[in-house]
Amino acid sequence: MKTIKSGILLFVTLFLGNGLVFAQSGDEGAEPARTILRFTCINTSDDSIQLKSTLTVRRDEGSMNLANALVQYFAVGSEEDVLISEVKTNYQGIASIKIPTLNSFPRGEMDLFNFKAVYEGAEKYESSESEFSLKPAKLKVSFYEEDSVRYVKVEGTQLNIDGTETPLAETDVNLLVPKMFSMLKIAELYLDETGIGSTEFPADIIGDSLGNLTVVASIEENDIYGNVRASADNNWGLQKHLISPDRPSRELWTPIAPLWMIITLIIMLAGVWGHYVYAVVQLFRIKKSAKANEHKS
Amino acid sequence: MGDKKNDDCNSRRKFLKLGLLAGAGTVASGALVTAGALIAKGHGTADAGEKIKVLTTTGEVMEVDRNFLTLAPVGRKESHIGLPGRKFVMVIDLARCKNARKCVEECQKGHNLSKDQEFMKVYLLQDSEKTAPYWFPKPCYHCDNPQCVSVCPVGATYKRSDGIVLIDNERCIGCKFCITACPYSTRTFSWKAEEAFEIDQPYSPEKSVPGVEGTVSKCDFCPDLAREGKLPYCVSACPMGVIYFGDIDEDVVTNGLETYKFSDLIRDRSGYRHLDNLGTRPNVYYLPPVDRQFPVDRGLDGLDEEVRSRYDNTPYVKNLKNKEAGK
Amino acid sequence: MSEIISSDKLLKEFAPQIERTSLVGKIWIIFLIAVIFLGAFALYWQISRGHIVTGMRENVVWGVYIVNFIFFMGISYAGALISGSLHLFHAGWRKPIIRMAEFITIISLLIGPVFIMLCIGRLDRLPNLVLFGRIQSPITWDVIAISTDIVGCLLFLYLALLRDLAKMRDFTELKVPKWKKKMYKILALGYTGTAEQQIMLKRATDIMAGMVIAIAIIVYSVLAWIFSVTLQPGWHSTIFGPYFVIAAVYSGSGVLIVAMYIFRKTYHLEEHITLKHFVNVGVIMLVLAAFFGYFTFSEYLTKWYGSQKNDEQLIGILFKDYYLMFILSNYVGVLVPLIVVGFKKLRTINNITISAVIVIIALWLNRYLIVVPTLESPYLPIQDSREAWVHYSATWVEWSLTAAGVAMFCLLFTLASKLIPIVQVSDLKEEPKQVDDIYMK
Repeated sequence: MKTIKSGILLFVTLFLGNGLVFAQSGDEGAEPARTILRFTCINTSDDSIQLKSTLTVRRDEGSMNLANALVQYFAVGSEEDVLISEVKTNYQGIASIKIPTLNSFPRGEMDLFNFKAVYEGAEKYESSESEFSLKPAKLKVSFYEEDSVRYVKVEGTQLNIDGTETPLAETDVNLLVPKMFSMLKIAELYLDETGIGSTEFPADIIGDSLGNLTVVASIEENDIYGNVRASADNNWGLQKHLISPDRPSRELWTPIAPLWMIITLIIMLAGVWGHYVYAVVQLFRIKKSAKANEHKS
Repeated sequence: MGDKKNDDCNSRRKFLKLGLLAGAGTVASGALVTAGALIAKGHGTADAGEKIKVLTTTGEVMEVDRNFLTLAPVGRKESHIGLPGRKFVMVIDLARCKNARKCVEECQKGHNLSKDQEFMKVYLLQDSEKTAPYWFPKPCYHCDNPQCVSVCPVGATYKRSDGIVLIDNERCIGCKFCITACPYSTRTFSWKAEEAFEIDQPYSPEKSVPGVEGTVSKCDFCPDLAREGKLPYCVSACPMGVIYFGDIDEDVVTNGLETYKFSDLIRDRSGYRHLDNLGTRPNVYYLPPVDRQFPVDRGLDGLDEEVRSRYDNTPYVKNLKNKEAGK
Repeated sequence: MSEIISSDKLLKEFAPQIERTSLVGKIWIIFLIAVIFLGAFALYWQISRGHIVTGMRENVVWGVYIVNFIFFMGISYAGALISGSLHLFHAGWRKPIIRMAEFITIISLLIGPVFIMLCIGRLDRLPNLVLFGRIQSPITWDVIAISTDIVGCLLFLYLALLRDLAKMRDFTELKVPKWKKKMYKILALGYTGTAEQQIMLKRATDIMAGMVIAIAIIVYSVLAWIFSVTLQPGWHSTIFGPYFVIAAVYSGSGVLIVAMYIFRKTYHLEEHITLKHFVNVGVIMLVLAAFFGYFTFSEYLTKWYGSQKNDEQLIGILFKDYYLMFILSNYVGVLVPLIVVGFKKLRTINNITISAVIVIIALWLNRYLIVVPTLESPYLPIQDSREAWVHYSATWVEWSLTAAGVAMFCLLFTLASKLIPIVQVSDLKEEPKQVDDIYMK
């Protein structure tokens, strides 16, 4: 995102209205299109939970994201649902919101929060909804070195309804490093009964140009904790090799031609055109001498 | 013809004018949308969104729907500069390809191509008589020693620091020399004015949209998507996860679902480059079709008659037909 | 002054061709213009509808246009070789045919590049070649070389014309419109043939004769390199440069013989252009035929013997799909002139002319075989259901424009002969008789 902001102008454009958008996307006046709401919740380890949903529309040619649609988030209670917030989807169809972990939303069985995302639909789109339940939890990532071997340590904690914290035990955690398009899994570790696990940090992971990188510990789609994520930075990565500013060995495809080519061309052109000029000079001399002759006679 | 050109110019000017609105820079964050892309890709919006005030170049204040705030597609000049610190690479796993052609279709959709034009092609190859046939998706290889760029007389095709070879369709004179120079038959020519060219969107070499009659175009590795952190159309479209894409300097490639270290993948699966002996140094690697997930003939199922008949002259399909006839 | 007056008799003989045009001549010119109009219509069709109206498609992106381009550039060699080298070697017999050779050169040099432009998708962007020219591209080399060649050949032609122009100016009996007379006067630069002027003219002509030969070699090599710098199996060959040069001179000599034959008949030049000239140019053609055959043989022999996969595939196509063309261009086109000119008994004007016609056709086909089959057999097999994508066949648009190119060549040749005597008047008298006798043997 940084590169985008720094490198490109921001443009704004305006259209006559949404009608144009609809007109272009076809099936006008047809029955409402089916929508799909993919909803997930993440324990972000900073005492909050992220609710995130992606809204897509099914059309003949496939599915596409629905932008600017209102998604409502509810906490599902035993008696009635509590409206948490309303969020509009962005152009990628994503509506996301963060809520604090410790709050008064009702909890269901096994201390689980139950969240629901609802899209009410519109004239051209059917309504859809989806639920997700999880127990608040958090992870903590830290690094240490022992006998010049580097380790990653992850501590897991779960937050009970009574406000106490107990270890998040006997669970698998993935260690990931965010890369340009996706996260690279570098290791897997197991949290023991004390909620602690550690593993060796691989030596061949590439960081940024200084070797900095972010390590993400992640529990994914766990029956109880849903998604739990935490991250920490270190500088254990290999330094990213940046493209050398040196010229490539073959310059044929570069904007400027190789020197030998330019020199050869200049020599050849100078040689040939020099002779042309000589011949033309002779012609001028002929003309001149003709004039001189005329004067004589 | 002249009239049409004029219209093109006008619509472009209109867009640019609107685009200049953002010069004021009142809006620098939030959800940024390309209106053109909205139309082109067929996104929908549920209702009119929140309005944002922006300053026009003439100093007037205007209200603009937030949904139509846009990142301008990278222009012709800027497109010569690659994404900083990146070098893109693609890995294609031949063991998984079953010629589902989703990569071809999504690419055509994404680049607004006519049915005749394919940036991604899927071949049915068989190296020799007794060797096994396999499906072979072929994008542009974005070579490090690109013949096409070397021979271009006007610098309309160029290689950037991130390894991507692009074409500037507004400079290309259409001499087709690059097409003959490419040993991989990657480049295509716009033989006629297609309806798809008339899309109301400013031209960007990074998008290869809109196409221009009488010029050359080809697979562009979708740098416009990479700028948004998204994978190329072909990669995200493939249901089998055949195509991996990434930054070779990060040594990571992903097909959207799985992420691997590039060097591991190449080492463990004996990755190779097609026709490497030609010295073009491609940036697309192939993983040989070992332990395949599908028998090769599955790739012939469910194809359009037109597409299926493309493979009629391959030794494999001929053999298949002979066997059937023999029964 | 004496030189000019003494050739008045000769000039009188050639005056009719300049003074008036016969009915047949007029019909001929109208016919040519009609063909050119057909070509213009085809060009309009192509520009308005796009290149889709040609037979060119994704794989065979270069077709008949490029073949014509190479062909016309090739015959432009006639002038460079015949007039340039014969001038340098002071071959006396060259004089009656030198003008034709120079006309062939300059006219085909003007028509050739038009064909490469027909092949270009965006004619409106041609200035980009100069504005954004990249020195690494063989096309840029070509643009530079061809424009240099055109200037050089024009200059050489002009130098050779100068004395004739002076003669036309001074020949008062000539019944031509005033503008023609004025043109002669301006172009003659006041040349009167003084000793001083003769020396200057000779110096310039000698220099330019050498230059024209050198440049023609460069131009044709550059043309060959457009193909041979690519990695395509049929093109990536080190001998393409000299091969193209030889093929070019070969076709040039063929066209010269045909031109000699036609002008000899139409303008009744039997007295000046004799069997001797046909035999002499024929012998040049024979030598070139041998060279051409040699190059062709070694080109295909190495490909066939080594039989690299893609070479093998290409040769397979050449001997299967293009069997007849291959035989005609590379066997018949070499053997016929060898036999006809090689055996004294067969050396008649008609025979030599017929073999020259065969050579011209064979050389055109030779270029076709270089361009098209290679593009039809790329490294990755063509897998397409559309016939036009797999096999190239030229459409009426391409053929019309080809015909228009030939017509334009003939028209410009005809018109040029209406302005200037087709035989160099001022030089003819210098021809020593004894040289004649030597050549007749």
